[in-house]
Amino acid sequence: EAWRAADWPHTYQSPAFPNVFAAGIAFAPPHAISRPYQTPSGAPVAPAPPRTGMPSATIGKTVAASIVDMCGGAEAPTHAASMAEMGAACVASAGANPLTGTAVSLTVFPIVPDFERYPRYGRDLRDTFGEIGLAGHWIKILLHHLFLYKARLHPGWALIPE
Amino acid sequence: MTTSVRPERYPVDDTAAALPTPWTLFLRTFIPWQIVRFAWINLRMLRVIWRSHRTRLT
Repeated sequence: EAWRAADWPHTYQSPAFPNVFAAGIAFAPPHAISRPYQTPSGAPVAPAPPRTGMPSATIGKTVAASIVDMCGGAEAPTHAASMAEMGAACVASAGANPLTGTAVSLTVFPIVPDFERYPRYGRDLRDTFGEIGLAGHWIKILLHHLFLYKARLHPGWALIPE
Repeated sequence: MTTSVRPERYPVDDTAAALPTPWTLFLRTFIPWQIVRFAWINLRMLRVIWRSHRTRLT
């Protein structure tokens, strides 16, 4: 547990090759983010942070912005998105019916616990919550259509957040 | 000998699961309440997204 939130990469630039970046699941997490456990049968449970979904999209956008600036003359990355300074929202739904389905909705901030900023739990509890209910299922349906709209680059797509 | 000055992480027993009450189960599918929660959860998520998208280095 002798790790710090600052261990996590910020710019995703390779230390060996300045023109190489590792976004999303391409970078190697420096360590697990909570205490490892074992199942009763002895299988290890080593918690790693989720790097898909919202974190990947935010990191990708950050790296792209840095590359654009470096192509324009900047000598170093101009944007940073450490997972220790970034939050995430997630909705896991069950069922396809908008009246009988359900879902769990959750947010965490930051994704990687930072015990120096938030000594008790490592996270800002104002922005870390979870809830089960039909509303989350509606949010999942909404996100489904929003992201398909964005992927098709329809008018205003850039206004839809990752 | 080494000593730790860091506070103990995860001091609360997080292995126990709380069971929902019948009232909680009812609210999870009660449409008027879920409309309120839909709006509230959306706002909470927008706040997290807003906090996560300030990426430019100063």
